[in-house]
Amino acid sequence: MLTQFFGHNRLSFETLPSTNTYALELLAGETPPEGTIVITGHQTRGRGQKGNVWTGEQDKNLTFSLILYPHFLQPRELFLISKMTALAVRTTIAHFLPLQETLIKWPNDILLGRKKISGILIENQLEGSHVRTVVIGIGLNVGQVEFPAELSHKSVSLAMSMAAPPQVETVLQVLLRQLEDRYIALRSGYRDALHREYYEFLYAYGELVPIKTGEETLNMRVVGVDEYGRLAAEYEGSLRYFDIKEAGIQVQP
Amino acid sequence: MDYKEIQELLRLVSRTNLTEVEIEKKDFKIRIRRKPPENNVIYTSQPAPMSVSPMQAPMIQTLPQLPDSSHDSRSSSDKPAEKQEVAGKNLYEFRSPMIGTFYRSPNPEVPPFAKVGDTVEKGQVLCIIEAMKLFNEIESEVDGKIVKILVENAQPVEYDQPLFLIDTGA
Repeated sequence: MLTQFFGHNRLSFETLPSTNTYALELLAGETPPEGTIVITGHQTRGRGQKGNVWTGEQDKNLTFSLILYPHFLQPRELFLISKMTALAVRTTIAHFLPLQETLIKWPNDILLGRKKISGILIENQLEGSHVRTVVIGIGLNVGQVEFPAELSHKSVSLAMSMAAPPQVETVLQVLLRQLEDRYIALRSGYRDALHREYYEFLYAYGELVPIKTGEETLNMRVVGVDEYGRLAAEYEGSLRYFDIKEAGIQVQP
Repeated sequence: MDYKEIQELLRLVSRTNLTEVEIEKKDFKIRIRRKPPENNVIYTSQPAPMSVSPMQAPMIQTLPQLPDSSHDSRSSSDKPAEKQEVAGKNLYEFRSPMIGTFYRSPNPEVPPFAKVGDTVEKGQVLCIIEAMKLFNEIESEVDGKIVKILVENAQPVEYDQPLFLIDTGA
């Protein structure tokens, strides 16, 4: 193992509806060690944003949830967990495909050559103003080469991009190490480098791109992402901030 | 930074449509926050510094510089809820710990986590706040009875905005 504690306690299942749901139910009754992972070879009711349900092929992809207790963070700082996760996934993909462009699409989808290779869903439990638990759900397309028709033009996997794709387990080990390094750094107060790295790999950073907001799509300049994770974009000389519900960056092929 | 410089900064900020500015230098940190007019909830039982209410008045908060903010950055001013006496009752104001969208139930098909008149316990989930694909289940910090719910379902909430009034009894 490449890690000090991430993934040391491991709950594996052949099939699960959702690793995040399992982890949250587990947390209702007990406190597993920090760094515990819930992993499955086949997720039948994985949840994406806006209730999108994602089903992958058996044992082809990496699907797991990681349990953390970042009591050192305040609720309004939780976007740091999102940044940390997106960067860890991005670096893991770049580890296997160093010559291809791997970027983060705000807030935390990972694009390999402009197509989505990974999705992240984070669910937290807060007691009032205190962060109690964080569950990070990660789906990363490793071996799958065929996707449902409606997703095929915008989805990609490692196997579609390399002759000899790695084992799912190898990808997991690299990713856990990436996550753990960043988590330990965050815990020791390292934040600036995280922000810098996020901007370095943020899709469309500084560029004029179509952004869909409500019914309209406007060409706006991506200026950055604020401390809460809102997208800051400039339109006709004024700066606007968007929640993910209010705006989406349209990826240019 | 002296008083005059702060004043100048405030003037500058009030001419823009920025809602928050944070400047950090070697030995100090200043944050100027302005609530957009529609969110300027005037809350009569609020402690004085919160009820600065001339529509666009910027709010100044000078934050002490912590030697290492990583270890425990919780300061008393960060408490999103506080106890107060209103009409002889002990009302606990449960405030939003973050910005996002407020949800009273996990999905539209199921009943809300809590409604007015419900008795709630410490640790019981009261709502979900979703922000930038982070889903946050917010649990009560106190035992009590829900007296009022101050925000409609699926509405955006600001950091520190009051969400629930909870009667904590005697």
